[in-house]
Amino acid sequence: MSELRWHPILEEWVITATHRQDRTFFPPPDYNPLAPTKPGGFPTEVPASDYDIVVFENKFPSLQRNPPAPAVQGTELTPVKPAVGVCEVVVYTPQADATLAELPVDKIEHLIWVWTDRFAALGASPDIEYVFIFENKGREIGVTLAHPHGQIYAYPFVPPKLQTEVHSAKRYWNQHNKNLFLAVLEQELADGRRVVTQNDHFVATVPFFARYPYEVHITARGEGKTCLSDFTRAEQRDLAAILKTMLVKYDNLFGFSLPYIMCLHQRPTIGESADHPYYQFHIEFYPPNRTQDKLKYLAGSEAGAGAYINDTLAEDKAAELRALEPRE
Amino acid sequence: MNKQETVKDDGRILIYYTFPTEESGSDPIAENEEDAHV
Repeated sequence: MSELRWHPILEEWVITATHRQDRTFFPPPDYNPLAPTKPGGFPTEVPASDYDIVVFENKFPSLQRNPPAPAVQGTELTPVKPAVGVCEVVVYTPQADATLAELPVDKIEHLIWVWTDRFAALGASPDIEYVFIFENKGREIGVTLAHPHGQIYAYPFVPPKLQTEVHSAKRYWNQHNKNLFLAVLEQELADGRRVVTQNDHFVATVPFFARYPYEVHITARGEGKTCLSDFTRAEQRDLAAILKTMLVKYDNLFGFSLPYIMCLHQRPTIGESADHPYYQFHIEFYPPNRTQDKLKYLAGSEAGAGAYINDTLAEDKAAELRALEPRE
Repeated sequence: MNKQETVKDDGRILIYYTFPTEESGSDPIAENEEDAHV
């Protein structure tokens, strides 16, 4: 069963996907579905003995190119729609015990090329309004397969958080004729206390308004950088480099491979905003750790009211991350 | 970057991306130029 149910109070779509209850849950190493298929071995999702990067449609998708008819009838107040869209898995490497942080910059750059290709290919569909590239890393985040991989959801709508970003950015642009994200970045660079690392084309900060202790945003410098497709080869290279730096810093924070949610925020792929410069490409990281052995949970205020409480100061956490190897 | 798109037995799309070293320095998304501004 899979469908979109409208939440008229929050004015957002909820995706039901009951078949996902049966998805693979921490299989033993010999039955890793993301590994290459070895001769005589368990047939994995990838019927090849080796690969560089592979992308395939999720076996347990939340959204499908040809979704089933909804299981329930909608009403005028609570409409229901088929869960049309695409859910892809991006396997970074055939090496099951690697992490993105451990890959060389060249390999991370290759991954950026793949992300760029998928953004363009999926975003070209008239059914798709938003292409969301992300990685959930670590058991603490709820990951069910340890093999290094990310995911791509191609939604038939602009998801709420992205919609809010687009609306804020458009309003600011109309009022100030300036890119909101770049205005924030300008303020961060002028202040300097929350900057973690930077290069010619990107800046990593623990933002002024961080909601998690070690939240980091990597923002593209310069106007007209609304999505991966806007980047030159030099910018792709710099994005790979700053990702590598940031991920290694994360792993050096507590001496273990840090869990995180990594989200690429890009402009929608349809509508007026698809051609407008008020949006700015950035990557957001939300590590769940608030200390080495304590996690931040989204509890009453966050889950029930949408009001985040950060137990730390962004200035302190940025200084902590800045001091870690590798430094600028 | 080379891209080989296949279809699995159950109809799902699977794409192999490969990166021959001799292509280093070329435009990695040239093959998708028409889609570059979706």
